[in-house]
Amino acid sequence: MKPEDLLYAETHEWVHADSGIATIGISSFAAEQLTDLVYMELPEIGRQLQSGEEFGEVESVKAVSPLYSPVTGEVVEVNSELTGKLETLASDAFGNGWMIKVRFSDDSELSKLMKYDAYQKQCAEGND
Amino acid sequence: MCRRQRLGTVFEMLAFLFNQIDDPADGPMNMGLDQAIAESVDRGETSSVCLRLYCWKQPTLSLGYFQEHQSRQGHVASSTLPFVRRNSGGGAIIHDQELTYSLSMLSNKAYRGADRDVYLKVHQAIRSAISDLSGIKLVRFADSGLKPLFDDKTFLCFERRTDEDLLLSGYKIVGSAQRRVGGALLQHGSILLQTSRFAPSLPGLSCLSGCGVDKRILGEMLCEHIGKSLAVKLVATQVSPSTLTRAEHWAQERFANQSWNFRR
Repeated sequence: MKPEDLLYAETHEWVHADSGIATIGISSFAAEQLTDLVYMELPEIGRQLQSGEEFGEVESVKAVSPLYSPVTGEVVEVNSELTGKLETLASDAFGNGWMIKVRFSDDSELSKLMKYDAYQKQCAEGND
Repeated sequence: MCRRQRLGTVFEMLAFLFNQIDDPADGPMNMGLDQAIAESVDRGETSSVCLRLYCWKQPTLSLGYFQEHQSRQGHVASSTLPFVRRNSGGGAIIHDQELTYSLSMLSNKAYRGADRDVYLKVHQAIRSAISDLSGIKLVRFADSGLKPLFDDKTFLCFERRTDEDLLLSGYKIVGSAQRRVGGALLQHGSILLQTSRFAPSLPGLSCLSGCGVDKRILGEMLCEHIGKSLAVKLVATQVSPSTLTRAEHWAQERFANQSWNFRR
């Protein structure tokens, strides 16, 4: 997926929405900060998520960081291969680094997310 | 609530110190308090920097968030201890002959993962405090010239090594781990003062140096140096009733709960 075509949460999760299914991952910017990833936990299929709710966690260099769902809905698919290949996050955050797919119904939640340019601006400001 | 106090012409941010060295709690409540304080920081209900110094009501083992509880079976010396799962990362800690701290502070939301700057500043402050108190010079692992360990996922935190760990004679004396709590960063840390009979392979500060270290005096020195390092003025206060209520909730619903402690 092209980063320019995705939507972004303030907490660095990206979303690709298509036919009521949101594919969710974290940006390459966030993945770069999560150096030396050692563990990741993703949810079970069928779990109901609220927008802003934690859906998983990652640990890097002794720091645990939550992963937040940008949309409300049911987890319908989980990238279970990713937890055993954490290096994929660094090499392909927007492709094979996807984490979960959520069936969502409230399109208005998408309008609260940032487009690529706004997200890039946030990342640049964070680096100041 | 970000309070500032005028000190001459210098504005110094007020930070809160919760000194509970003489009022130890059990494992679930200690973890519940840290979670609740970090949430208060995230919500802006307290100072944007809160330091808590504490001990444990009884010797307790805390597991790092991602550790498997079954890994305890490989460490016989601590097998009789109660345990609690932390929400911060890293390896297991035997809370017996040590001083624990938690630092909760607002963090840059644009970042994820470890905040190395906070590790660096707090550990530098701990080095200075211990040096001022006893003359003992701790060394960063990154500056020690020692090679990384072959297996860096050993059970005990104090048998692992990361760059900011503080060592004496090659042995780890100070280690810390972090967790993001919304827009706040929670950093847990432990200063190993004596050798515990529940972890006899880990020599503490006193054992290695021959100097006794009083927890209370060390606590005072830590406040002074951590305050300086973070450019805040630490003011001793009590945990607010609302934070305490939330801490009790977390202690009961999460940290004393088998579904949390045995989750992996």
